[in-house]
Order: sequence, then C-alpha cells, then structure tokens
Amino acid sequence: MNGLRRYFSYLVIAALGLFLVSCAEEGSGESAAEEPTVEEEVVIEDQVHYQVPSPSETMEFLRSTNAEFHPEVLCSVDIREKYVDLKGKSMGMGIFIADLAYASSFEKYQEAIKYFTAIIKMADDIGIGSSFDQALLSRIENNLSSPDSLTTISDDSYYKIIADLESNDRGKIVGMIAAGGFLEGLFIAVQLVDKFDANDPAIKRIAAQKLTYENIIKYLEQYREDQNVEWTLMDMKALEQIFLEVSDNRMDTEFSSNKSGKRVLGGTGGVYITEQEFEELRDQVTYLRNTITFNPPVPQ
Amino acid sequence: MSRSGLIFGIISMLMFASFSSEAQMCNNYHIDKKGCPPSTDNFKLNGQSRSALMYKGQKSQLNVIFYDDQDYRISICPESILGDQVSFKIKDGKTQDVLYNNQDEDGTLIFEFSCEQTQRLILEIEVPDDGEGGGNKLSKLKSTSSGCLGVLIEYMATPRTGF
Repeated sequence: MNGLRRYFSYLVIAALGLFLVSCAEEGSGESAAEEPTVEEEVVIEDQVHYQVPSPSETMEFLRSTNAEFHPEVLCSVDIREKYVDLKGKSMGMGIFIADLAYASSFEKYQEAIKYFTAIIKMADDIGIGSSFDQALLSRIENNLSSPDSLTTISDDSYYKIIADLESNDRGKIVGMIAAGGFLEGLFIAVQLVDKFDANDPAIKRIAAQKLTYENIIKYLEQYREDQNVEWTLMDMKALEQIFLEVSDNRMDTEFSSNKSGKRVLGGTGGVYITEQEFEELRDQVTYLRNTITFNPPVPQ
Repeated sequence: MSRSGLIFGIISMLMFASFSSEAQMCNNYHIDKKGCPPSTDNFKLNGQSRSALMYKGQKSQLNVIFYDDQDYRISICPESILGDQVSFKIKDGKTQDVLYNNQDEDGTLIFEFSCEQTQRLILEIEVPDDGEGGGNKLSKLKSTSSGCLGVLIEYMATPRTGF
C-alpha cells in the first residue's frame, strides 16, 4: 500500500513538473499569463480554420499596378511606446508588419529597416522576441541591398512570428496582429486611389477585401472570450456595415481548362463596390486606423 | 475524488501534455522542404499555408481567400504514417459545392490553377480511417494513429501571355 501511495506521489510530481515546464516555455511578458483555450486544445476533433492573406500579398499587388510610394501614409514607429495593453501592441505590430511589407515591396530600404527595428522591439513587448534569432537578424543586415531578399525576409519574419505564436497556443494574438495588418493594408490601398474607377484592378482588390474581412472576423470570434480580442472585434466591427453594403453576387464558380490545359478558376458576377461605398469605406478606414495609431488625419 | 478518478485525471494530464507537444511540433511542417517540397517555379509561399496534427479519420477545413490574377499551387503533405490516400476537396465557400475532388484524379496531392475571380474556397482534407484511428478519444491519441499534415499554398502573379 505504501508503494502504491509513493507511486501516486511520483505521478503527481511528474504531472506538476510537466505543467510548470509548459508554462515556462510559453515565454515572458504580458502574454505569458495567457491561458490556452479549450478550443485550441481539442486538436483531435474535425475543425474549420479561417485563414487571412498576409499584408505582403496586397502590397505586391499595389506595386504591380505601378502605384507610387507615398511615405506619408506610413505609420510613425514612435507610437510603439504608446501602446499599453496586449490588444494595442498586437494590432500595432500588425500595422508595422504591413508598413514593412509596403516599404519592402517598393524597395525602400531605409524605411524597411525602420520597421524591422520597430517590429523586433514590439515582439519583445509582446513576449515573442525569440522569434527573431541571430540568423534572421544577420540575414537582414546582409541583404538590405537586394529587393527580392528584403521581401523574402519580410515574409519569413511574418511567417515565423505567426508560427511561433500558433506553436504556443496564442492564436488570439495572431488574430489581433492579422487585424492590424489588414487595417493598415486597406488604409494604404484606399489612400493610393486618386480617382474612382470600378474597373480599376486596385478598386476590385479593395472590394475583394470584403472576403478577407469576413475571415478575420470569423477568426477573432473563436477567441472572443478574451477581453483584448473582444475589444479588437469592436474596433473591426466599425467596418461591418460598409462591407455588408459591398455587393457579392459571385455565382457559377467552377474550374475549367484553358487552351494550354491550365486549370482556371472562374465564374460569373463578383464582388463590387460603388463609388459612394468606396468613399464611405475610405473615410471609415482612415478614421479607425488613425484612432488606433494616435495619428492626425492624413491630408486628402 | 476517488482513487480511480485521480488515476484517470493524472493519466489524461500526462497524455495531453505529450499530445499537445506533438501538435505544436507540426506547426511548421508545411515549410519543411523534405516533408513538403516547394515548387521549383516562381511560386512564393502564401501566408495562408498551415500545418496541424491530424489523426486517422479526421476531417479538417481551411477557409482560404484566393485573389484574381494570381496563380496558385496547393500541396497537401501528410506524414507517411497517415498513409497516401488522403482525400482533398475544394469547395465553393459560398455554396459549399464541391469544385474539385482529388479522388477523381488518382488521389493526387498537388493542385495548380489560375484564379480569374477572387474567391473564398474551402480546402477540405480528410485522412482515411484504417480502423486504428476510430473509436474512443484515447485511442485517437495513439502515436500510430496521428501525424503531421501540411497544407502548402504558393502563389505568383499570373504570367502574361501573347504580345
């Protein structure tokens, strides 16, 4: 009987030890206090995941439309110190990541360095500084003159941050970073439009953000029991009515093959935005982004 | 708490700690070049790629945005323990209609296409159950019933053709 009792004691000590190691590995700082949610733990059930395109996809697209670089639309890195809670820091990091993607896509090395530095500091603030190991920092220093490398490093940094957060059951921070990145990407995109033209590829891409927006909301809603996520959702809901008005009459979606045998995804209809909706979206995105970044309105 | 309850609780805790750690190890599987080889063309890694620990018999859906004027390459990369008969469907995110089923094409796990219209698609992946994975929850935790699975999405601007 004493042997059995001793056996139980060892099991309890082992379990406690595992629990403590698990906590210690979750990093330091504010986020270390975050607890994994039950939903994240249940990986053995059938699941639905909502994915969000990275900001670099939008920035590369803007670059391909021959848009010009406008440094005045970028967010000041000085705002980093104004963020006090996890929601602000996470959304702020997403904003810096989108600005980095914008600067990298347009080959603005000095601007890119500024945002790399800000992201590294912000990662420390959030408690994920280890995402930036020495190898990555060396790559940044050694490849600043190569536009392709800079974009690749920018992407790699983003993917590493996301993977590290997901590895540590901190999907809610991923959601808030994605929300900040989405907001800044959309802000930059609408600022670069001089004149509304419904057939302009840039306008079409802005209208298509309705789908990305819906995915972000779905993603965040998985973690809405967290107060920081709830606050992020409240911010993002400011765009809900406008995106509801953007028409989505996609139909007959199908894969077909073109003359060269390549598979093509097409359909009829699409996601369309009117000029009035675009103006409303631009106003609302600008207001929301400037509120979150403590910035005065950008001159039109 | 009864002694049997205590034992069950402790065993569950220990198993979960092990399982959770295994799940986290899978998170980068889609960027492991051995497990999930990227294209040798001009494709770039898309941020919507994802990996997870999956068990035999499990179904998982990824809700992904595909933009127009982009070419995409989707690779499904199961660890060998999951077998080579993984089912992969692409569904319309709006109507849920099945647009593509790899079982109609010898179960191929790579799919390339040009996107002419921005769409939200559902990538549905199902690992077949060979009889070892089903049953109660604990049996699903056996290491012989689960493995990493990566969904690698790559993209590039659709190449212009003609003069």
